[in-house]
Amino acid sequence: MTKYSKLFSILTICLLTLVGFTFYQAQAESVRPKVELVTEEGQAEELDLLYFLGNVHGYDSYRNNYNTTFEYRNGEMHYFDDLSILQKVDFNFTPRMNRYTEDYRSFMRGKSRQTDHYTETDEYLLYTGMHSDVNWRQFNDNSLTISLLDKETNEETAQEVHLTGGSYQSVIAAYLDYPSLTLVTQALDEDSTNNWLIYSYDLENPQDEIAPVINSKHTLGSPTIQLSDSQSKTGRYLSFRTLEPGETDEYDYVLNHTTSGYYVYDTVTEELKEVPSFEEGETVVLTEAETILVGNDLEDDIVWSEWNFEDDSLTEQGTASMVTPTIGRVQVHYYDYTFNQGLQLINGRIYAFEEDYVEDMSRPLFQVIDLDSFDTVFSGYIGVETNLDTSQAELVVYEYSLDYLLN
Amino acid sequence: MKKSLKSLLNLTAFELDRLSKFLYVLIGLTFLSNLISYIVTPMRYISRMNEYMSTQSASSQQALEYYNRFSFYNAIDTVWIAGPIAIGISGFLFYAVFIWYREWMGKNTFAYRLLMLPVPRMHLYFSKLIVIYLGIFSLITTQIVSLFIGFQIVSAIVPGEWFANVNALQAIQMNPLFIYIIPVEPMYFLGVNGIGLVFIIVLFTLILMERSYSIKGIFMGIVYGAAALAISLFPMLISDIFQNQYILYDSEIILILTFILTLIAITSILVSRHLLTKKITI
Repeated sequence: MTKYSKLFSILTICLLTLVGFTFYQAQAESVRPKVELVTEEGQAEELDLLYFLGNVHGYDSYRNNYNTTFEYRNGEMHYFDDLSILQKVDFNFTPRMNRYTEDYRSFMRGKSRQTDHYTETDEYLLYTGMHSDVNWRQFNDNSLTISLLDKETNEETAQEVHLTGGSYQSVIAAYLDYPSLTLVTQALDEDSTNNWLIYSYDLENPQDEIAPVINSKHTLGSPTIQLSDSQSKTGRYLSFRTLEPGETDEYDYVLNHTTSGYYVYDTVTEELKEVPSFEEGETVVLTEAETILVGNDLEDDIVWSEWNFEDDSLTEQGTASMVTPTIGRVQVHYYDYTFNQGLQLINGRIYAFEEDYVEDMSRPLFQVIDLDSFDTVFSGYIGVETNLDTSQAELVVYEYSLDYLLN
Repeated sequence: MKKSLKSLLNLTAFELDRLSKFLYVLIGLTFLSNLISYIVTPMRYISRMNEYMSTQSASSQQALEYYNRFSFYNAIDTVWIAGPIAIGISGFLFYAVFIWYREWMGKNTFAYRLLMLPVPRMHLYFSKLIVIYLGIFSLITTQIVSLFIGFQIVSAIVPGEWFANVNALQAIQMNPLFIYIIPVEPMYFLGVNGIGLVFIIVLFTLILMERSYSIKGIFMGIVYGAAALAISLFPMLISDIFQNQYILYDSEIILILTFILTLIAITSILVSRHLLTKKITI
């Protein structure tokens, strides 16, 4: 045995060290901070639709960093570190895409991973993406792929359509009321400026080429237009707002922009109308199904009214007290293409979100308002419970969305 | 003990004896270099802190605000740690070639005696492969042991109030280099070692081709190596072939790559066996 002693000694030391290290690592206390939903008012279940990704970054001095990425879904935190390596490499940092790739893996093959390119209803999952979204070497020639998955039969139908009316088109939203499809795209105009185009398409009557029904810039006459994109994308109405340049500095640089108007587009009649404005306070516009809710933002309260698109009448519904004077009213810059994204109207509930800070620490706030009573049925925040010797921990929530078909 | 296993063990023990000096040098170099890092880096930090406090008439707290606390991560994120790892990797790459050529290039044609041994010739092959991996794992073990000893040294040198509360394991997990060479993330560790193993198996095949067919063997080796590389890279080209970036999920690309590498390894071992038993000349 003597001649093997060196061999077996080295082998034993290697095995013991590697196994010991692996065991020690598994036994060692987890360094990741724990994240929890803290309820201040109402029931936490009200937030079960909430879906977001978050990251906790703790540090005690320069370079001693701890990073934990997590996904919040079904009312629970799911930590990225708990995934297997194969799940990690397939993980999308857009939460809804994870559910789609999990539930409709075959349909998702060969399709882009941008949330904007998908619309889901109880019966269908619709994909609308440009060729260049999946073939990164291809010049954007305005060729659109429309794929529709029938969830019940698992049958997929695909169509190719050429979009006219602008170049470098990219799909921002697709609203589905089968077989009617309303596409909202951003495109470059003939003068190379950004523009919104709205297309109407009948999924049961395929066409090779479609022209825009509305060219927003021409219709609204504003250089800056923003869309309030609903999460469900099945509503009848789409809301836009226009911005006008405000003050300029000595170099003609625009210092601020002011809202010049709110507009709603009816996907059925293909009409665009201006929403009545309020004398005092800002305006917020939310839409769902056949409903257009117009809010008069008075900071601590929002007075909600229902606007009738047909006869322009505004009927007050009630007043909701907001937990902070800014919750849901996320600051939007003129270069953002969406607005109102901190407020969402889903299934008769208004969901409000705000990135709050307490003692230099990020604390995302959430509020859910019931539209029947205008009472707050939930308010709370995401908190970090850390077991680290951290002087600070930063929490960032991103890709916040409401997965209305989750339950 | 079965006779064939005994002959493999004999040959492995023999190869290990021949490797041991080289291995001990690398282990010594790793310990020495790491020790320098564990002592010099915190000493330099302490000297900077003291200098700041004396020149700026600052308190310890003010100096900490300027320089931050010293953590074990600072001591292991240095060239004194990365250097021996790089030397170890390149050393074993060199040794993977040397382990074959020294049989022919030595004072006596030792290859003649080895190939005439009444044992399967593939035992020669596997003993060389095992011993290289044993050497690699010895260096990995050395690095792990060194890090835990190093933590004790660093924490003894740096005053408690200046030392950040980051333990050895946390510091190791934070260093991107260690993700691949230490089983911090077992799948990365297995992946890197698996790719390394296939590389050495292919390298052995190329050496045996050259030993079997001389100049013609060099060209055969180049073609074989290029083909193996091209096939390995194939999964990365699938999205270009189909002109669709999302045609495969990343997990599928990894599984295809694993399958291809396994296939390359098996093919290379079979080719090596053919060369070693039928073609090789002394």
